[in-house]
Amino acid sequence: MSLPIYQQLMNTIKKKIIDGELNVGEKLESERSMSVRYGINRMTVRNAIKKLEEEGIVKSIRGSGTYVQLVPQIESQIELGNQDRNFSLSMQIRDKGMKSSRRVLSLKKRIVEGEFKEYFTNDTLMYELIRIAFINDHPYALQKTYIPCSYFENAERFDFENFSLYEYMTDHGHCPSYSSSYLRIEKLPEEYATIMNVKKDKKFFLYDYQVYDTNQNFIEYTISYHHPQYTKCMYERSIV
Amino acid sequence: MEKTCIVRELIDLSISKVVGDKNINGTTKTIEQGIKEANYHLSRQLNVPLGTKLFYIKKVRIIDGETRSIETAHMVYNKVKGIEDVDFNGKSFYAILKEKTGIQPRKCKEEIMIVEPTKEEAEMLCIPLEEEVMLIKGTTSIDEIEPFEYFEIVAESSFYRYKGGISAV
Repeated sequence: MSLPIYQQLMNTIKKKIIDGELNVGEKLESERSMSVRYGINRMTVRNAIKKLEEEGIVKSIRGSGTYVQLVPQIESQIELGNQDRNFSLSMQIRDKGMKSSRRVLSLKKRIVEGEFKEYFTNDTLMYELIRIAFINDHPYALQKTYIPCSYFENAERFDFENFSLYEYMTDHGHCPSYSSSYLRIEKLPEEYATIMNVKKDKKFFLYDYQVYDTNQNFIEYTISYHHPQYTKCMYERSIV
Repeated sequence: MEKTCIVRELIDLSISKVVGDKNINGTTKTIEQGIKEANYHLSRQLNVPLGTKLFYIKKVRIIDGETRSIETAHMVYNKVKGIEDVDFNGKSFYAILKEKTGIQPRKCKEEIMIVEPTKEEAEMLCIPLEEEVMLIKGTTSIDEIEPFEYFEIVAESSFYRYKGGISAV
């Protein structure tokens, strides 16, 4: 069911503020102008502005106009579960109309040992890439990705902040084709609490998955912690 | 020792069946069951008028002697008449439902959330009030049109894991 028109307008204005098209202190166009631009009743525009004012996002000054007062919180959520068909988290974020960015915390070669031997059965070395995914500059997911050195080389030279891991993999002849995942809830490791801007022991959705290429080669193991505020976990099952 | 967890796959509906199939030491205990009228929230979830008579059951799942989840289900009473007198303790609800009424939900849609427990939930799960829990809520359906059941499961956060997979299209 579609949202009432005033709510749609509220969301449009909020999105413009989040995207930086409208900055704090900047004046909104007039009610009349918005009414004409969107082809909606002026009272509907007034209602949307009133609600935004109640949320503290804008402030109307009599005789002057309406001004942006603060940047709204993110309201969309990224869906995890079995309904999404998209491997790339960045793409899921952008599909929701939000800004996606990443920061690489570390990238290094590691010896395959311990629990990793279960996944990297034919490898002695793997790359460990630790990144944070941001939604509209808010930390959203912490991702620890492991890829086998036997398939991938010179990862140190690749720009994982501005280009996608899956582009890198495809460039190396291993296009992701199938992923098998587990979802559970766990505390975010303490060392990442500050950088993810959450209190110690905050619980996150932990989504760990193995990715295979078109030839069924194992090419990635990722442990991904997703902030619950920005995550919607949906599962659908059919009983046969 | 690591606590037992239940892995939910996308073809399972009955948790009791998974517990049985995996030889997990578990059972269920009914806390209450009966008939009540649909409030606004339940009428929306089940797509029925306010005040519709519903059968409800609230039970706990006990694994290795510990209460790990609290499960509540609501469904339209007219569809399951007579079930209110059945003793569900230690048994699969869906197995009995099929046996008594012939009803077998085929689809399930659920959302998983991280929430703070209520005082009652914290006490039942023997966890501190500030310890966040997993809330699973959703509906099952028989014909994909009308929801048959609305359920909520509050579980210790490590209790359930979800297994899934995606293929590139």
